[in-house]
Formats: sequence, structure tokens, C-alpha cells
Amino acid sequence: MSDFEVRKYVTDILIVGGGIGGLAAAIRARENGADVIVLEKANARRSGLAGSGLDHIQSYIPEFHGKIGYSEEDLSADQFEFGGNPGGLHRKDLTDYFAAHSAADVIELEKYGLKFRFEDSDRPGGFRIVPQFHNVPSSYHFEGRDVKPALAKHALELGVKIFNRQHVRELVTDGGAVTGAVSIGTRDYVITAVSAKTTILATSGVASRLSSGVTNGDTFETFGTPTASAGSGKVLAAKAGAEVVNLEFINLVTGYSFQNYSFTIGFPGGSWWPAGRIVDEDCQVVVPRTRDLPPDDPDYKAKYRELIRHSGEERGKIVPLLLQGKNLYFDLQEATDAEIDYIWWALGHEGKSGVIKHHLASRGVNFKTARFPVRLAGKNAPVLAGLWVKDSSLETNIQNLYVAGNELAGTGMPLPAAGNALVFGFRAGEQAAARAKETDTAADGSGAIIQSLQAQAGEILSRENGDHWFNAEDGLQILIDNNLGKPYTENALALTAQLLQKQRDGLKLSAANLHELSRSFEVLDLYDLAELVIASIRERKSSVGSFVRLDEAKYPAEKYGDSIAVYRKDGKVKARRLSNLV
Amino acid sequence: MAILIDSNLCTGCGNCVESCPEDVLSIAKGKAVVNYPRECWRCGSCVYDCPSGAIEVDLDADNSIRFVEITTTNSNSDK
Repeated sequence: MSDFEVRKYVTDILIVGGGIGGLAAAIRARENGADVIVLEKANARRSGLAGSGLDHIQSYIPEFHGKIGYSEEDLSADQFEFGGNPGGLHRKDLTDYFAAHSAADVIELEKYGLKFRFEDSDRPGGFRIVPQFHNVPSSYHFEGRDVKPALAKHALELGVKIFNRQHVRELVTDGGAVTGAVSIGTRDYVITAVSAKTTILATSGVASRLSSGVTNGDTFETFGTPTASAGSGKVLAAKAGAEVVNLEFINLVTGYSFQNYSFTIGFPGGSWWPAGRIVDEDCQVVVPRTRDLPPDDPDYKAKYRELIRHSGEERGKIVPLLLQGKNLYFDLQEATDAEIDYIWWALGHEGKSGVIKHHLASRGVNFKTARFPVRLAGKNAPVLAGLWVKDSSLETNIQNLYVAGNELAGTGMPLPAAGNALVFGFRAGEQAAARAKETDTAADGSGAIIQSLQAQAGEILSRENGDHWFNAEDGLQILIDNNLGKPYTENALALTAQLLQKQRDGLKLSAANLHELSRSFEVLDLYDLAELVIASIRERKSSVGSFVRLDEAKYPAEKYGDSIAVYRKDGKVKARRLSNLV
Repeated sequence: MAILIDSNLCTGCGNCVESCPEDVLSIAKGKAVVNYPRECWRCGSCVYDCPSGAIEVDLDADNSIRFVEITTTNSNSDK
């Protein structure tokens, strides 16, 4: 049953992961004349964190920002401030790059058939612009439900080869450079080995499956798409010797939930801004609605900043009241008909909100009279991490390995950000294509990896009555939930590391088919990731932002903003401190 | 069960099977079937890509979504 057909390919550029970042990289690399192969675990049409849609994307918007007086520097400063929270670990050189290039890169989506301009808009350019929770209102609100099918179609038309349902298990290295990767099928008994001049890691930035779900829904009620949330990119990269930074685990309590979504900030707000408000059982207003400013207000910038500060303060009341046992509701009683029409439109374009829209519509819900309970949500487990790059060339410390999208450290939000995925995807594609032109094709070095992968797959597939992946994942999540994401001491961390190792050593995974095998590999990646996370926290030895050490007195705080890099050398986890001040 | 498939409408085209990011669907006897219901995270991809409108994602009322009609009016409106 475990006879895998081995298929070998040679190309200029290999891209691991076909989400927004990976497809943007593929498109730009192909436009620059490179042959490109994408290995995608799901199907690039609907994979990644934007698989079923994206309704807003951050950008510098010249028509609007120019009129108000927001500079690119304002946007960069805003990203630096928000992305730095809660760790304070941002890279100003990268947020500067984003601010300078987003204007051209993001609106490129319009060329792929996505609607960005609306006749009823009062904003310059005809755009719909949502502020989210930023000091600079900077997200296009657009019809992006089919952003992935559109990007995938364009990439295929350009001649990019996309191999779907291929789960990448290891990067191939030769003399300190990456020379390709090996993947295994999630539906077919196929192992794919690609030799490439340059490789771009465009895996998802999130690893939310380290912790139990955000809400009390089904198994996979996580923030990001589950298949993209196993942290596999970080594990692959670290194994190849690449430095993964700031893997500290923060057990971010998501605050409150609405309609199957959980929020920390920005709600009521986001796509619903400014019409929603929070009321109590007696319909007394707890958090009032806000009102946007007309774009010709001469004092827009100052007033807007105050508005965001004030509404953030108001929203801060929600969690304490819920903790006191108060019943709170979201309603739209003060919304105008036009605003309610807008909300119905907005709900249709981003992932699960489209499902919620259908659900509400099919039950005849009237936003004028409905109110929605707001409840305390569970925990989320963002891992502020990604691959270290020395500069905006986006090459990692490992030669010929580039990073794109949300797997890039030091930019974006603590949570994934589509604008960054796109801008740094295009950049990685352009840079990797330039390097490929001056690089020779390496000899195929995948033999040993293929052999070991076949053996591992065979063992899991043939084992009877072993551990099911779901139970193994559950066990890991319990360990993480109980032991990480709280103020740390060295002693507690050492104990957690021992428990993790013991649990991992005792695992005897079995899988009935390739689908379960792929899930089993994801669980193994989660265990590997947990080991990296613990090593990272132990190396920090000081408090920064939300990373709190109780034994800090023994470990005096180092320079603010340092990053901790973890990687593997000869199989062993290594950690070191890097200065962010590049 | 998060995914409801109307077998009268399903033509067995397989678009949903292709799209599903979690690989939970397949075609059996000419119709789409859900193999791994608890791995569905209700993203809606199968609904969007179904050409015959045969799929609905069920949001279980207790876990996911609740709404109530307003019975009192708000006195704090600044309208």
C-alpha cells in the first residue's frame, strides 16, 4: 500500500505554498522569465488563509492618502506600531518597503478582475476604504471572494506549474544552500522531488493549531485555515538551518466573539465600521457607534487619530463586562438603510463571513431589528514568527532560500495580513528570479530524503491500532494550553520541554490513508514547532512586550526589540539573539 | 454535520472536492460525500464553487450563531 511513485522535476524557482504570497511570487517570477513550480498542500484555487475570500487589504492609497495628507511614512509608522504589538519586534526597513511599494502592488489585483471601485463612494478614486483599527485608514474594501481563483488562473495562464495536494516535507540542501524540496501526495501515492536554483518559502505565517480552538465549535474552529496552520513552513526552514525568529508563544485571549468570529480589537468596527454598537440587556448603549469623517474635512488626520484612540478605549469595556456576567449584544439599530445595504455587501466577500451572510439571509434576519449576543471567546495562539531576512531582498540566512508572504518576520501584523503577503510575495518572486539567472542548477540531492520519507510514510500507514493524529494533536494542545502562554520561569520552561519530549517519544501514529497521513505529518510538525517555541522563549530570558518573565531579575532585560532566532544544526535546536536594529 | 449536500441537485462534478482546502470531500456513487465532517471549518469554498447550488454550510445554532429580536427600543440613540 505504501508504494509511492517518485516524480522528479528541475526548474528555476520552486515555491512552497500557493496562497496569496506564493502565487504573487510565482506571477512575478514568471514575468521575469523564470520557470516556476508551486507545491501546494491543498488546491491553489482555494488554499491558504484567503482561500474562500478576502474583503480588505492594506495599502498606501495615493488618491485618498494624498488628499488627506497621509504620507508613506505615516503608513509605515502605523504598521510598525501595530505590528510591533505585542512583541515590539518590528523591522522598520520592511514596513518602509511595504509603504513605498504597496500602492503599485495591491491595486494590481484590479487587473485580475477584482472589483475595487464603486459608483457610490465618496472617497477619492472611487474606493471603499475601511480603517480597521489603524491610525491611518488604509484598507481597500473590495470584492475579493475569488481572489485566490483569480490569482491561480493568472499564474497558470503565465505558465506557472502548480502541483496541488502535495505536502512538502523537507527542503533539500547542498553545502549550506537550498536546492529544492521533497513533497508527498495527500491523495495520490506520489512523492515529488523538485530541484530548483532558488526556493521561496511562502507557507502560512500562523500556527494556531498549537493551541485548542478559538471558539467552542468543532475541531477546526481556528483563526486560520487549519491545513495552513500547522507551522510547517517554520519547521521546514529551521531544519534546513534557516533562522526563524520570535517564536514566543502568546496565549492571546481573543476577548469576545460575534458570529463565529473572535476579536481582540476592531469590533464593532472592521467591515461593520462605523455602524455597529454594543448594548446591554436593557438596550443601554455600552459602546456607541462611530461615524466616519468626510474626506474633505480639513482636520481629518488629527480627528481621525482621536476617533481611533477613543473607540479603542470604548471597546476596552466589553471584556470586563462579559467577565462580570453581563449579557451584551451587537446591534445595528442606529445604522442607516444605506449602511445596512453596505454590511450585506461587505459580508459576502471574506471567507466565513460569506457563509454567515447566507445563513442570516436564509433565516430572514433583519439587521434593523436583530441583535446578536456577544460572548467571551476562547484563546488564540498566534506565534509571532517567521523567517529572518537581512534586508528587503528577502533572502534568508540560507543561500538561495527566499521568504514570501506572512512567513516573513518583522512585518505585517501579529496576525496574518494580506497586503504584506501580496507585496512581499511579488518582491520575493522578483528577487528569486534575478538570483536564478546567475545560478547554476544544482545536482539532485533528494535521494536520502525520499528514502526516509517513504520509510516514515510506510511505518505510519502500516501500523495498526496506533495513535490517531487527532488524539496526538489534542494531547499537544493540552500540554501547550497548560504550560505556555503565561509569564515564564526557566524552571517551568525546562519542565515543559521535558514533558513535550516525553510525549513526542511516546507517539506511535497510525493512518488509514493518505489524508490521515498528511494530518499525521502536520501533527509531527506541530510537535517540532513546539520544541522550537520553547527554545526561543528560554533564550529570550527577558520581558519584551507581552513576553513576560517572572524570573527577570535573574535575567536583566536586554535591549528592547531584539529578536530571538532558532534553527537546527545536526538535528539539534539552537537559539541566538539578533539585533533588530539593521 | 457542517456540510449539507442536496443529492437531488448534486451532479457529481467534483468541483467541491477539488476546492476543499481541508480535503474532507470526495465523490462516491456519482455524488459528493463528506468524509471528515469535524475537519470542516466552514470556509464556504465548496458552496462558492458548486455550479448547481447543492451545498449549504450549516452553522450549528448553539455553537456558532444566535440572534434575538429586539423587544425594547433604545433610548440612547443620538439620531
